[in-house]
Amino acid sequence: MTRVLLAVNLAGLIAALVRSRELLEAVEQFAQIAISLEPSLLASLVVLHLLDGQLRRLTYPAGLAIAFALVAAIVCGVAGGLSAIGLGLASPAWSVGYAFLMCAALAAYFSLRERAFSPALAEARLQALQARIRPHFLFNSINAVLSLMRQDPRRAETALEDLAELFRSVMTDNRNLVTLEEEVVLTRRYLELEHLRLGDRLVVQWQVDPACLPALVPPMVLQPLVENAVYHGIEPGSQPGTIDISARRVGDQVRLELVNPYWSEHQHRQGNRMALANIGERLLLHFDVEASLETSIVDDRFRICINIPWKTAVGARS
Amino acid sequence: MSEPLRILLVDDEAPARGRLREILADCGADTPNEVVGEAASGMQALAMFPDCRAQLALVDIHMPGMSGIEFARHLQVLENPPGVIFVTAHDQYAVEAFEVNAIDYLLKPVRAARLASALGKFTGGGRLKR
Repeated sequence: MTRVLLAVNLAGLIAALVRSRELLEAVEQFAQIAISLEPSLLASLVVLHLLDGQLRRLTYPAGLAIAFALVAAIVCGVAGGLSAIGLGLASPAWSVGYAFLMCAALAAYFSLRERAFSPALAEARLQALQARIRPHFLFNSINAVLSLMRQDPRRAETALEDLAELFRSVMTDNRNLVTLEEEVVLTRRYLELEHLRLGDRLVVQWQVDPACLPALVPPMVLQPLVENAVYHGIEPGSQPGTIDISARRVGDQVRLELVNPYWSEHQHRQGNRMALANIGERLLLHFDVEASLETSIVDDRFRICINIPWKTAVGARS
Repeated sequence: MSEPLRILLVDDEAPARGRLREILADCGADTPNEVVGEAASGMQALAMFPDCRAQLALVDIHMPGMSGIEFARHLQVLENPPGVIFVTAHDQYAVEAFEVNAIDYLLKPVRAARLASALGKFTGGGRLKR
């Protein structure tokens, strides 16, 4: 949907540039075009979105024909309406012509894209991007569990159970979305293990809005980032360091935020960019351009912010 | 074998030091030993010399501040440097470790038998020369 908005507006801008000789004139032209373009575009998107279910049941050519007809009708109506109130720029016929051209171009683009990123290919890529846990974490954790065996067998048991659960999640096929709640539980188990060996040095502050817990997110989206935060933010320091983890809903998105101490002299420790790139690519495969991942460094703290389109298991937009 | 071997433990993780204590005790029958100190960082460990009179240091590599390799380099300038055995979860530092004359390079988690053989290398080799 975002891609459609961007493409159509870009086309409008290009048309404006073509029609004018100077840049200033182009801005004016674009504004003119926008008057008739935006209402048609938005109305078309809304109608097509509402009819999505019905259209999906038709064959591709039939669906395409109906979509074209709908857009033509809407554009015609909008252009007619605008010229009636004296705002129209182009005649309805011209507008429909432009709209058809745009529809055809977009349909061609999406069918090409579909073929390039076929579900099978996307699944294969997702599988290849399976999250990994650093080997040193496994060996250090087992070592910590061994240290508990004789003195505190019960804690050793719990730790082994956490470790088993963590590895089950890492090793399962992780192509389907999971709830944020599952991710949070998994991350807590991981942090329990890290607490075992790092003790007071590891301080974690959770701020998860319970309303966010049913949101669907890619599996292993949080734990690898927290593992990174421990590796790059906590382990290099001998004094206690804090990791802040928050999740909240912002409009139609769920926003995950992670902040940890930043050690500029420890950037040679490898793997940070790899984990981030891995998650970025998985977000792209699941949500296209509608999800985002940003990082920044503010006051010696490293911050990661992920926005994921709001989605729940029942499909209802609560 | 009269005097027990005097050993210093250097690791930023307390459970890891605890584990080393346990398996050192297990090795006690073959190689009598005594833990004369524990340090959570290279700096802290350096401050213990020469008073602790450690003959051998079991050293982690990834530690905050000063790495185990750097610590071993600092030890070499001491008048009577202790032997160093690295104990780490990372397997990629072996070459660097032997450049600072490590006696052995052990991977966590360490088996008592493997530690015993490392102690044997030290008592059989380095220690006799003293």
